[in-house]
Amino acid sequence: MTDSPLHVPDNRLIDMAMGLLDAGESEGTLSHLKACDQCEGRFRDVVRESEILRARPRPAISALQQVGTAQQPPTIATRGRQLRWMVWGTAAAAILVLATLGIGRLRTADPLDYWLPVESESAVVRSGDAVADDTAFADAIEAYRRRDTDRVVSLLQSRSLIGRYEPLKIVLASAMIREGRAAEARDLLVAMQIDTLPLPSRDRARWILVTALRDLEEKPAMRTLLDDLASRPGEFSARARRLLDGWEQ
Amino acid sequence: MKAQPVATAVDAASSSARWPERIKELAAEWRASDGQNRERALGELWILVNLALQKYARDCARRIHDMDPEDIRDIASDKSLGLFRSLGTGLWDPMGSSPAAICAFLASVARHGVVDRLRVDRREVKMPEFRKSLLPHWETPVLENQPASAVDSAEHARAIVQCARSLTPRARRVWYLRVIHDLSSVDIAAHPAVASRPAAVDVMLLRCRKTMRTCMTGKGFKLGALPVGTFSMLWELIASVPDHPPSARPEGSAK
Repeated sequence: MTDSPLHVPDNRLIDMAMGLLDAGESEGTLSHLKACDQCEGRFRDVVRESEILRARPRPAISALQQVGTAQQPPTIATRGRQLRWMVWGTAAAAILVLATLGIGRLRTADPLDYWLPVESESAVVRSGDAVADDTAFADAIEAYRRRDTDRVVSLLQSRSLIGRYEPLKIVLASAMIREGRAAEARDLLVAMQIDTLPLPSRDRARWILVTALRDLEEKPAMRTLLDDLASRPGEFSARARRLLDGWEQ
Repeated sequence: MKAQPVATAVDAASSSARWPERIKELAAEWRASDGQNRERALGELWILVNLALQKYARDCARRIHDMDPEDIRDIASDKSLGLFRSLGTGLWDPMGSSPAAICAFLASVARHGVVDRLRVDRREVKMPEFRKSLLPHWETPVLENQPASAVDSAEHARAIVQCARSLTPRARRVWYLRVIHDLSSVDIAAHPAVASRPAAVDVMLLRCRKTMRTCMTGKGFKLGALPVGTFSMLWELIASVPDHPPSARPEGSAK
């Protein structure tokens, strides 16, 4: 109903409720609302939501940054996503154990020289229902394993990475950085809302983001992420502390 | 009164929404200011981003699945939190985006929220269905006794607004938030235009209801139904009080 030419669109109702229309526009819209039960009802809903938002406490930006660093209980909205990522976490934990036993190389000279473990991604692609892009996704993971980041980018950048394939965005971002496309990697990760990902994927995405920010020389944002990662136990806490030590010297 | 078609205005409005530009302005104000101005900009930005995300989440949900309004609000709030974190760290910078890009980005964020929520809903009993099965009259309309004709409706609407005028601005706001928007006493007390305690709000509401009932009876109406047009007139009345505009816009910034 919001797109009907005979009714006021939602965008106009938001503008109206927020006082963004000039007097003439406001008057014209109101005269329609006063005679249109349906539009007036929708306008009332928009105004009600704005009144609720005004009444309820709004988190301060500084508090939000704190929230972002803490271990938050899952909300209803993030629970489903967490279940999806749980498969990856389990596989990743196994890889970590192998790494600490010396089978994998955990520490490198450059703490930001980091390659994502992709075994869990392979499992997800293989176990899913067949889709047209499955072969490309499997090829991309294999290419990432071979460190062929150019191939990874060419296979993934034009595909829709949604649903269970969304974690491949982190792989794509990692490859983009290796290809000197840090800004695109940063934008991709920011659009993912990585603060809402469950661990360990959240920290991995943050670490890749730190790398992108380093390349882009966006130091304040990079510092915020490093402080967060260093402040609590996790896969990247030691690496983050090493970088911060160098930062302070 | 018959609704005036607003096709031309609507078509223009679809492509010229003001709120994306306002988001850019507010983000710039927030970055450039401090103290109360900074908080005020952030407050308005919070409302605007939430409303926009709610709109896109509703649009998306409408296409694929029915969704409870509470769920829409949760999705918008959840995603707004993430965006404000990114704003704080400088990772989301609406100032560098075009209005169309802001719309596309928020639509995408809302769509992700809806898809996540639907995935969870497959495993959960839908609360509205549950409520309906137990309480057939859960959605009992508060408002009854619709007037018989359009003329009656218009007179009835004017009577409600005239009676609301007899309340003080603060009491009117309390009555409006409860009777029209069904906000709780806790929310009303916390509203910046009221700033009181829940118990005081309850007392004020009792007096308001009595005043309104007496006034409406004196005009030959029962206070019950809200005929079409009433809400718009009440909103105009509320918005006309300078101290309590419907938005959090500062004085002097109105277009």
